[in-house]
Amino acid sequence: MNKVLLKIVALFAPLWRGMGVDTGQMMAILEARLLMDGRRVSVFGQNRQTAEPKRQDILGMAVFFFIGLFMLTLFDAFRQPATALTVYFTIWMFMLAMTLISDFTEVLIDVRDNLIILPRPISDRTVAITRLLHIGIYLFKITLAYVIPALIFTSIAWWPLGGLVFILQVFLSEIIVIFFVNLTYLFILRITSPKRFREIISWFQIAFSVIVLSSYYLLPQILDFTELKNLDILDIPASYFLPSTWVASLWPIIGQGQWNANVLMLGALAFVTPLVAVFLISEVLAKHFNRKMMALAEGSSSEPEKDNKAVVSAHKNYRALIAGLVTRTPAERAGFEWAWAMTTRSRDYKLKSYPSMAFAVVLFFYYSLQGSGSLQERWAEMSAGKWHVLLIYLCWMTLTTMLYNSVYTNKHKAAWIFHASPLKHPGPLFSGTFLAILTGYYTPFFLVISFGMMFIWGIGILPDLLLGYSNTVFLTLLGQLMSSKRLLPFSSNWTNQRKGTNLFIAMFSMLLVGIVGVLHYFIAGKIWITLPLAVIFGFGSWALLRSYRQVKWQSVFSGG
Amino acid sequence: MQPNGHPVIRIRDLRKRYDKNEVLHGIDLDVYSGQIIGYIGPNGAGKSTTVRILAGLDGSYEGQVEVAGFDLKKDNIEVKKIMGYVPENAELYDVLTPMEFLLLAGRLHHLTDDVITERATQMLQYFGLGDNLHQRMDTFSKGMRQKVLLISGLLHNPQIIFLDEPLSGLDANAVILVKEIISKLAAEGKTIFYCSHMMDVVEKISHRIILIANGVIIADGPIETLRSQEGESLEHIFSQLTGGQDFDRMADDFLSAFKPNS
Repeated sequence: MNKVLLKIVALFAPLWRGMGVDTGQMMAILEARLLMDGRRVSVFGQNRQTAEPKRQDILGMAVFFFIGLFMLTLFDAFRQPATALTVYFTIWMFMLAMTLISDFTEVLIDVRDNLIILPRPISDRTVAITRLLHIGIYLFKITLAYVIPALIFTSIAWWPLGGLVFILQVFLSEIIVIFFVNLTYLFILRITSPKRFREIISWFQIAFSVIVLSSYYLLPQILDFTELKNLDILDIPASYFLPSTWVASLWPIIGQGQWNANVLMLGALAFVTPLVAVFLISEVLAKHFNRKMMALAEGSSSEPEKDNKAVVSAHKNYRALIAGLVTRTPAERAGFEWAWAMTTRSRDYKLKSYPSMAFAVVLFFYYSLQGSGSLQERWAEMSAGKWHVLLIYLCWMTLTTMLYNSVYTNKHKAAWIFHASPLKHPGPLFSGTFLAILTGYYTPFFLVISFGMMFIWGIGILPDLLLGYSNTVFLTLLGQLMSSKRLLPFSSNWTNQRKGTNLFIAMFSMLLVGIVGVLHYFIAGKIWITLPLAVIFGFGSWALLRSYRQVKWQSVFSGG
Repeated sequence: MQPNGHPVIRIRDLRKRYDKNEVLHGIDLDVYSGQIIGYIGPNGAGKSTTVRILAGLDGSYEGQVEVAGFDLKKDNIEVKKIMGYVPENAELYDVLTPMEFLLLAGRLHHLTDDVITERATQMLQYFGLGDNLHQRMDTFSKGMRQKVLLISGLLHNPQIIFLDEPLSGLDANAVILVKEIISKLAAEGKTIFYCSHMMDVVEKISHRIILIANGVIIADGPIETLRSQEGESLEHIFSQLTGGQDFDRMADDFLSAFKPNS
């Protein structure tokens, strides 16, 4: 694939030379870049556990291809081609923008370039055009993967013009997306310091994975396709603000000869916007952008973080307050404050843990809204039943995932400090980390979920929530205590995952949670049982925490 | 070593500003071929700024810099052709293998793939990395990365070589080897700019030592001359010229932290 693409680029060598590019250098950089893209862990590959990611670019393309294939159902779901195309391009443009921002930014602002490429005898023009070509190849790859199914479909179904118009639409939509991505970058750089840029990008990554996940599970549940079948997007004025509607309107105009004022206006927008965008990008934005990017690359090494200091100290007070409340010994307090800082500040931890919160909610609606009837009917059915118990026990999964993630970090080597310290037993580190995640992540999360649940099921479920909270904490601690091969918190690399986990224990814990959940379901709402049980399991958790504090060095797996 | 002919590097009244802050206050310097320059100075003295400018990475300076007869601002690319740069902290694309990385580096200097492969294979073998040619560098130790980085800076046989802490992470044998290589390169007439905080190495290896502090050169000459003026070891000379603090008292203060509320 890459070889073919490079050959194609090389075919145009005279053109590049005409633009003042050194083609030899350009090809050398492109070849290395494409190799690196293949080995970079992307958003789509982040759950894979191989130590040496390979062919990540192909994996990403495969994901886009299957989404593109799945999107063909749109052309069946909607009678009006314009409507189908609007939905198709909305999803496409959103995915493309998010992929560019969350996945490609790291490539765009690779600071190592300054030390590796720039000291070589290479002209600025070669560097700039090579970078553009690299972006072009990246775009071409995912575009190709995504549009091939729809291109084949439109070419056949809407013969003879369908395929051609579709290619034009893809092209226009791409320019609009690049324009918006450009604007987004500039906006982020305007409101924040270069230091925080990566932080914001990682929030985009979190948002992206949550949105993809929830639309995959929930959209089929929520949308009623039989009713949407006859929908004509052009009857909804609000949709006129979507660039995807502009692009989609080209088919009714060219292919179906639908020539009313509204549609023609949309079609004009589809052409004018990319033209304006190209002008703005090349004349105004590019200069701003390059300047900001230079600042970003230079600022990363020399500038001390001034603005971060205030934030850190404010956090500290809050953290110290909670630490004083929940920890018992200096060692545990150390473990707590350390884990609190690690979990709230490290990008990779947040990137893996926040989606697990959303996942509990998404899974809940996925199961609870199953069945027939309209969405209102199913919703009414759900809120009349005792479904809230399911949601409570799905939260257990969130807490367990967050604890599981707390073993891993990119800076795992720093764990030497605990092996070098004269700590008699590492229990306080484990309990401190557990408490930090419990108070810093899980409890706030559970509170928010609880308010949401009381909104749906009423305040009467409060005792169930209390019991659920004690039970999930109890069961999580139980699972942690049963585990025989445990790793110190933040002591292992993400790429070493699975070494220390125990599949049998994990299955057993899940089974146990299932049984407890079912039992809870039967007693749900019976306050005279649930309240005393909540107190009992609360004490149980406290007792388990006590033995968690006593965990010995012998039970720590020292391989990672 | 008596310099003859034209200087390879000629700097006149070099000034550099970041915003309104001037960090280099007029540097004048002539460097001749075959010299190993030990370039030292405290953190923030303007050392890496000078090297960045000389390596052609930063064109926004005032004053005149000529390298091998080329004006650095005008003929940036000509200068970079004869220059090798080894940055500190082993910055490289570590998902590539050494061979892939060196192919990139060599091709940017317009070497043919055959030449690059042959040189890279030999050089990596001499450094004991013969078995790691096609292994990804993210598994490499710091020393191994440093070796690849050194090769990437020397692959195109540059006339002027900038080395920034080139020995960091290397084991004792590799240190000896690299020092030998540097001496032999200088004997062949190459110019070497050696930046380091390790005074004992700089003292032994350099023909000429340049000490920069607060954006000006405060000492310049062979180690013998500096010794006769300031003191016995380079370490001593360095601290004399750059701060002159009483380290004995500071060490006492440091240890006094153990004493209860004194």
